[in-house]
Amino acid sequence: MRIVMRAILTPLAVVLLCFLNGCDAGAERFEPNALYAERMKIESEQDQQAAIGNVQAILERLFGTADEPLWPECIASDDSLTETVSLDRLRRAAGPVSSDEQGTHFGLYRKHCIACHGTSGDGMGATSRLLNPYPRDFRLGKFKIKSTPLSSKPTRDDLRGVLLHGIPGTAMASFNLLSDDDIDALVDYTIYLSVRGEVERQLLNEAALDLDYAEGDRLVNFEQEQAEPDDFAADWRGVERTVERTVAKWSEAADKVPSVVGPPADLPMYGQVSDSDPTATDRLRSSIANGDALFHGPVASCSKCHGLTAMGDGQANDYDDWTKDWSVQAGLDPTDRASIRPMLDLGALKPRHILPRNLRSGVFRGGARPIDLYYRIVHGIEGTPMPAAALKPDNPQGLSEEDVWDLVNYLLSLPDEPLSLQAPEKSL
Amino acid sequence: MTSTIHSRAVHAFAVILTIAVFPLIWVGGLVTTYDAGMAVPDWPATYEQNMFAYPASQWIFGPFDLLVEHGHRLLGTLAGILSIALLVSAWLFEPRTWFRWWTVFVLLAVIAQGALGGFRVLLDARTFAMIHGCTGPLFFALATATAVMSSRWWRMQPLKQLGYDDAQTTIARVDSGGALSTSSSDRGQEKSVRAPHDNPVGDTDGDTDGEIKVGRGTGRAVVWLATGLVIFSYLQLIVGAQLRHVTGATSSKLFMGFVHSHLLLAGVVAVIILTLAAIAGLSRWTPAKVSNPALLLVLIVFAQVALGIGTWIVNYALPWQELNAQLASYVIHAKGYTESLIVTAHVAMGSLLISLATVTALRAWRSQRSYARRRLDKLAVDG
Repeated sequence: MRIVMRAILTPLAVVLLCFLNGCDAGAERFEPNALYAERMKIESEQDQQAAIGNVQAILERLFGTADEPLWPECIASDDSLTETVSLDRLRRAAGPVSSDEQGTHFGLYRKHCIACHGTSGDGMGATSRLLNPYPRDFRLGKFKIKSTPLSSKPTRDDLRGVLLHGIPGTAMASFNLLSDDDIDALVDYTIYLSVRGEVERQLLNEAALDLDYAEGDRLVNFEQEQAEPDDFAADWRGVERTVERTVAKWSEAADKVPSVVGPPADLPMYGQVSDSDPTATDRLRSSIANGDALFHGPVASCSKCHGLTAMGDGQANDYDDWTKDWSVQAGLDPTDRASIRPMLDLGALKPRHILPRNLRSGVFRGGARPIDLYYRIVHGIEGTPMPAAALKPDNPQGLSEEDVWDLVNYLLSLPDEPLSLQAPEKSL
Repeated sequence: MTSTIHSRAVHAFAVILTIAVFPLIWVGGLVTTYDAGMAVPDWPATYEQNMFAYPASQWIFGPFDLLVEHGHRLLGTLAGILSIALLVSAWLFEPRTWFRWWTVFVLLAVIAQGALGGFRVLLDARTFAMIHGCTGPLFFALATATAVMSSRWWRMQPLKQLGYDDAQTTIARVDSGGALSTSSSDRGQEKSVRAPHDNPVGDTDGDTDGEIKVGRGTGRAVVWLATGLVIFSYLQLIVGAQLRHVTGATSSKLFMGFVHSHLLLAGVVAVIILTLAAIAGLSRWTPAKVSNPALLLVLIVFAQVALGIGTWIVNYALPWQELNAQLASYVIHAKGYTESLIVTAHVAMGSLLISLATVTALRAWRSQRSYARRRLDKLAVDG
């Protein structure tokens, strides 16, 4: 009887909550990075409330609000950095959803992204808890699918590619029905949230580890702005340098894309060879065989994580950087529920192991073009255990350019390969 | 009062209103699916022009958001006009006082619904969008109820249950001997007929001593199940509306609570419908007017569950991508045609389910055995 009553009363209680849910609509503002602040609290063993308030005030002056975003003046006045983000596009992407008679859309981020990625891009939007994988937290400044090396920012084209193509098998949709202007505005807003989030982290870090807020230290003391303008200007300049360093990485991203644009002209790629061309078929078979050997061998060592069968049945106990950021980095064990409880209470999403991909499924989230797989192998995947391959000539024991393309051929052939460790006997 | 062309006009307006509200629900669903609620920033004008004078070329061939939002407003005004027509016809031809006032309530409801939509625009408040989205299906159910209660079946049902099948009879009085007084369309002109005791439509279990026995009718279980269905399916719709109107301020824990509640309520609604259909379908005493919609609800709930699963997949993908290759490789197309159609169909089907549940419940109440018995007793006392 009690169960029946509970089954009836629970939905009723939820319906009451519906009205409460309505009450908070519209209050969309950038919330502080509570998880990182908590991590700083653990590291510094000091309360961070004053620092959080100070950092939020700085961020608002630099970046404005969720309704009226700003792009820091120090960036706008630097010619080498101004191309990163357009303030006009930011304003189109921000704020409430609307459109005009000509079909120009405003509030694009709220319309398309906020439900999963959250107002501040923290990846903890309303739907996040139920999604697998969790939505990306932009604030770490790390992006998985990109053409640039590890620790580099993605290019605008990388972000645009994700927006246009989506990510198969995940909640990340393709927005290819949007206009180019809308896509550009969303790219800008993603960069904006990422820069804002990274600056917030750096300021929180500096506030916690370099300053003593209990003694009255401040990153920037706004009360000095009128009384002691020189001191204020000096402190503010320090903040601006943090912003400039962060934005500079985005400006440099395009220069870090490898010059390689595709496989060598003389290398046949899997799926693009006719059976009637015996020379190409033999060349391809040889390429796949070499890729197979590299996959299972000690140099590339792909099978260590992806498993001997390449079905992703290797290691399964690691976490991605977004989880480690508030757990391992804070000295907490993600498997110890009690130790991470404070973080979960602050909104952290339940830790999930990051599982190596089943490469036989034929689904490559970062794209299935040969060049996409090439980037994944050469650059690794940011924020995950997938490392960048060691390459010649920097590493004499590493992979050659040809080896990488052979691996690509092997990966492309895997979905059609019989599930055995024998060399494939199939039509190429 | 007779079932004349005049009272049939009232029913016709009620039916037309109900039919007109369903596309309104669809287009309203599209407004939310495309987040087009602010495609027209003013209200009740459209870009500072009278909404009826707004050039068709501008909105039919203009941006899709504008088409959907302006189309929704025009359909809304159509519902308003039909509500006025219903009210006028009822006050001209309908003898039942309570029904005449009911049509006033219907008109007030459609005005309130329009005003909610207006507030949503003027205040740019998603809370009002959510409430507007919840009250829309309520008005659809209201229109459906009006159609049911203005029908000839509704007016004739009690007499049929009592054993009379005089199509011209709507108001009846029974004297202690079983005699029935009826009033015809000419108020005040009464005629008396004798109840067909020897062969009533109702079950007389062979007793022909002059006392009417009420046997045929909807059982209590069906009545309560149908009523419960209306309540639970509407709760389900409210929770579903929360999932549709998330904002940046909605916490992930709250959203998860809504999802779980939506799933739980889906189970409750499905069980109620299956039980209702089983009892109503198997009972030889439940009128077809009750059992048919109950059976139709089974089809709708299966379709609705399928659409619900589809809605989740086209919005968020399944959390178990490796379930099959199709799902693992599926890329959601934001605002895509198929995606939008599935999501909006789920919304519209939810409203349809509530309306059909309302039809079933009202007819079940009207045709229930105990109701006929009470009516019989009341008429006997009055007589």
